[in-house]
Formats: sequence, structure tokens, C-alpha cells
Amino acid sequence: MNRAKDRIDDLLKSTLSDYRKEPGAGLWKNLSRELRLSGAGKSALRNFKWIIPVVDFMIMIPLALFYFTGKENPKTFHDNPTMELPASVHYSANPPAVKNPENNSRHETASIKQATYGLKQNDYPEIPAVKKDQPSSMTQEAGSAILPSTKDQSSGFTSVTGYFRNLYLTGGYFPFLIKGALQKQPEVNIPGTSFIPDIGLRQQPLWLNNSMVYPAIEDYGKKEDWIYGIHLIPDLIFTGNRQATFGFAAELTGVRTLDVFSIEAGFGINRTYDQGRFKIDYEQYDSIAYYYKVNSFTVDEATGKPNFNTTIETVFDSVDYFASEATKNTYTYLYFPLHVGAEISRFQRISLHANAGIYYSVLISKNEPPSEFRNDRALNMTIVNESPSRIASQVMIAGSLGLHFAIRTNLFLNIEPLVKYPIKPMYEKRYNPGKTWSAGLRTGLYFKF
Amino acid sequence: MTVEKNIIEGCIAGKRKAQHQLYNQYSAAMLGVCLRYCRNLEDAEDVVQEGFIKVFVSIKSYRGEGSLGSWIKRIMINTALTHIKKNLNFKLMSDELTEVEEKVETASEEVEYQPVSPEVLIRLIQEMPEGYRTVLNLYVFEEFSHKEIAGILSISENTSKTQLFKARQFLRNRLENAGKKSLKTIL
Repeated sequence: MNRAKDRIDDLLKSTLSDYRKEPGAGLWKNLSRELRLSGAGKSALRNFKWIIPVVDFMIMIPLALFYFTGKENPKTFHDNPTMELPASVHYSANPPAVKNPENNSRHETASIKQATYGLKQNDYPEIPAVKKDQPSSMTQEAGSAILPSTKDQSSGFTSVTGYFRNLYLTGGYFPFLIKGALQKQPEVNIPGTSFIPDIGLRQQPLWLNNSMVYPAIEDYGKKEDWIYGIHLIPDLIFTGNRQATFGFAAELTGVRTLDVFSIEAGFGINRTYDQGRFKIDYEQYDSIAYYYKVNSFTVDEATGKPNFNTTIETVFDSVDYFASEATKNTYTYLYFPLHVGAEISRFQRISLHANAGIYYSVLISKNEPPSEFRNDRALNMTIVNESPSRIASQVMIAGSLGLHFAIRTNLFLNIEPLVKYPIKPMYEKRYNPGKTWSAGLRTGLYFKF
Repeated sequence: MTVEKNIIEGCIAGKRKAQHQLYNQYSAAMLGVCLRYCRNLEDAEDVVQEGFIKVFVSIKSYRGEGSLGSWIKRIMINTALTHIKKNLNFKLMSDELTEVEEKVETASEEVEYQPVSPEVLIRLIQEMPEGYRTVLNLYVFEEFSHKEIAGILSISENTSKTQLFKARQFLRNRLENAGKKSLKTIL
């Protein structure tokens, strides 16, 4: 085809063919960020991305091992078999009575160090000493008390400060500890005391799983504390004009408590799935009709009519087709939560906490697979990616109600419905995505050392 | 050539430094191309950004046939066309040239124009409707035939011709007016 010439064309070509314009400095910055996210290139972050899970494991595995297998409170009788009590016996304001043993052969000297209990001697009023092998004046008052015993008879039972305190606490503020406390105990006999064979549930000395009891003593009434949280958060993300998407997060936090208030901060990794959309526009030659092609003809001499020799020819035409394809995109965010909270209700082991805070999240990687649409017969195929682009960083405000269940004095199960509302839309503005919010269930453990 | 080869190998290996070198070498020229296809600088920079990502992702497929610049330019133009196609609606425009229009076009071939700065021409092109601008670029700068343009944009050849005619007329009017008033005052 001859190309129609025009002076305008010449003017355009001569002026603009080699036209250059330096892009703004921000373009390379954006491009570099996009390259990092799309994986087309090696950035420092990409090189060290493996560190995140490794650090997670390095932190979490020792913590888990330390906490769930090896940890015992150093202030327990398990770790301190030699116990020494001072000459006087301390007891609580309303001390339980003690009873002489029926079988003296079991009487041994108590050698219990006061420090073993982690209590100060002056914390409680004194009661008269109980000497070895001597019936106690408290014998007649023996009721439900259970005292430890030792195997050493050389010294008398002198102090049960810790014991009484334990008894008070386990029966009162932490009733749920009793069952656990009954399970393990050292073999300790104290002169002038004896086991009470039948006291209902308290069939054995109570003091005894000190790893549980003593922290309770020390924490009782304590206003400030550090606890740590590990949570998993499945959530659904609702976007105005798009289908709800699913996300999943893992989070580590530290909590500073002050009375009923708390402030919590940490970091987490969130993986979100989204639907990619491709619009495919192509042409394809399809059969739309047929006709009889006359190849030759002859005239019938008898009738004078022509006889046609024909073949059927198909007519094709290009037909426009429109198709769409959905793909699964994956986005990974690093985020930093910061919450403040308050305990609003408590009933025995269960407490309810209200929390509010912000999340700052940064998109650290994304996987947006291309369209896999194939049609060998297609002509002029155009595939347009209509998946809206996500913005690189986000600030969300969040509110939640946490239900804490005390498994142990230093271990809590947390179930926390959580609602987050991004300050900016999750997608770039040009896609006009509408309002976005998410609802999730933050589930995990709080623990302290 | 060796330097360019090293840059390409670096880009294939995903080295950020090599990618930056390639970007520095071609970004200005590519932005110049994209400015012709897009209606403003922001859109053009978006296209350049997306185009360079495609370049870095698919640079393994560059076989050295033709210059690297031409290969990158092709990617940029394809990226720009993909952007444009979302909004392009040629059906709203008249498909056929009238007899008068044909005559006007023929007559105008003889008109001489004063030199104009690239910035002014770019601004004029950007002011055109999307269809005019796209066909004008493909025909004048990329030297595609109307048949090829029709294939690329999924339009008829007549539509392509009409768009080109109207694009030229648009420019002609603007340049003539500018000649009378002085371009600077209207831009």
C-alpha cells in the first residue's frame, strides 16, 4: 500500500523521532520497588528474605522448648531438696491446724530454707514452734491442713510460711490450681505434723507443684508485668466491589501490662490471596455460511438446460470473542501492630479484654501469575490484566475483644475477634475499589517467663 | 557492545546495578516515546515503569536480533497500546471520510510548517483524542500500514484512515492557529 505523505508527518518525525525526556527521580525508586516485589531482580531484602522465617524459628523453638519441657521454677522443692525452716513457725492470719503423725517412724527433720519459698520471714505473723515428736497444740485443730514433711528428724518443723500462703492462694484466688497442685509433691515430712488421710480432693500435700504455685504468689497483686503473645490470625477481607478475599497471619508480640491496662506491640507476617482478572479479546475465523461454487457446466442438448458441476465452499469470517480468566494472586505483608487494651471483665479463669490500635503493613512480596489463556486459532489476541494493583504500604485501625482463658498462671489462651479498617484503600486509587475492611479471629497464647 | 552485553548479562542474572544501568541508558528515550502515546506525563511514566518491568522479566528472551533499544521500544509501545486499549472506543467516531475531507487532505499536502519545539508538539499530540493519537503514532512514527494498524487495534482500515486524517487535521488547525497567535500564547 502506498503511504500517503503529509508535511505534518515530516514535521512530527523530524521533531520527535529522537525526542528524549529525563524521567523524575521517583520513577527508578518505584521501579526498583516493583522489581523487588515482582522478584525480577535481586535486592538486599530479597537476598535476606530467608532470614525472617529462620529468625522466627530461632526465637520460637527455644522458647517453646524452654517453656513446655525444661522450665521449672527455681524456687521449688524439686530443685531445692534441702530445706531449712527457721525456729518459729509462721502462719497466715487464719492458719490451718496441724496434726501429729500417727506413725512416728515417718517423722523426719525439716530442713527447709526460707528463701526456697521466695517469701520474707516477716510477711506473716508467727505461731509457736512445733518440736519434733511432740504432739502439737494445734493437733486438735487439725482439719484440712496438709503440711510438707522432711526426712530429717534432727530439727523441728519451724516455718510453713510459704505453705500457708500457698494454701490460701490455691484455695482462694486461684482455685483452678488445686487439681494441678495435687499431682506432684516431694516426699517431705515435718515433725509434729501428719497427713490428713481424707480431706476430699486434697488427699495429698498441696504445696507441691511449686512451679505453678510460687509464681502465683509472686505475681499476686503485681501491677506491672511483661507477657508475650504468639498468634495466628485467619481473616476475610471485604472490598466494596470485589469478592471477599482470604488472608492468614502469624504474629509475635510483647505486652506491657499496668493494672488492668496493657500496651502491645510486635510484628507479624500476613499472606493474602486475591483473584487476578484478565480480559481476553481476540478474533477467530469461524464458518458462518457456505455456498455452491460452480466449477463448470454443460448444456443438456435435449432440454437446453445447463448442468452445473459444483462444490460446497465454506465462508469464514473473523468473529470477535471476549473471554475472561481468573488467576490466584498472593501477597505477603510484614506488619507491625500497636494496641492498647483494658481488662473489662473477669470471672475465675476467664477475662474479657477490649483492645484498639493500629497496624502498619508493608508489602514485601507478591506473586501475580500471568494469564495462561491459549487459543491457537485466535488472531489479534489482546490480553489485558485488569487486576487492581495493591499499594505498597498501609495503615489500618483495629478494634478487638479478647477472651483470655488462664490455662496456667503464666499461660493464657486468647481468642479475639478482630476488625481492621484500612485508612487508605488496599488497591491503587485509579481502580476505585471502594471501602475495604477485614474481619479476623486472632487466636493464640500469651505467656510469661 | 561489550558494555551492553555485560549489562544484559547482569540483567539476566537479576543484578540491580545492571538494571539501573540499562534504565539510565534508555529511560529518557522511552519516556519520549511514551509521551507521544499517553495523555500526560504521569501516564507515560506509569507505562515506562511497567514496560521496564517487562523488559527485566523477559530480557532472557532477547536474542540480539536488532538493537536492544529497538527491542525495548517495541515493548514500551506494546505496553502503551495495552493501556490505551482499555479506554479506546473508535466506534464513537465516524468511520468514513467524506469527499470534502479527502479533498482537504490532498490539498494540505503542500502546506509548509514552521519548526516547532518538541515540547509544543508533544503537548498538541497529548491533547488529541486517544484514537487520533494512537493511529497517528503507529502510522507516522512506527510506519505501520493502515492494514497493520487495523490488525493491531482491532479496527477496520477505514477507521484507521479516518483517525489519521482527523489527527492530521487537528494538528494542522492547531499549528495554523499557533502561527497566527504565536504558539507560546496558546500553550
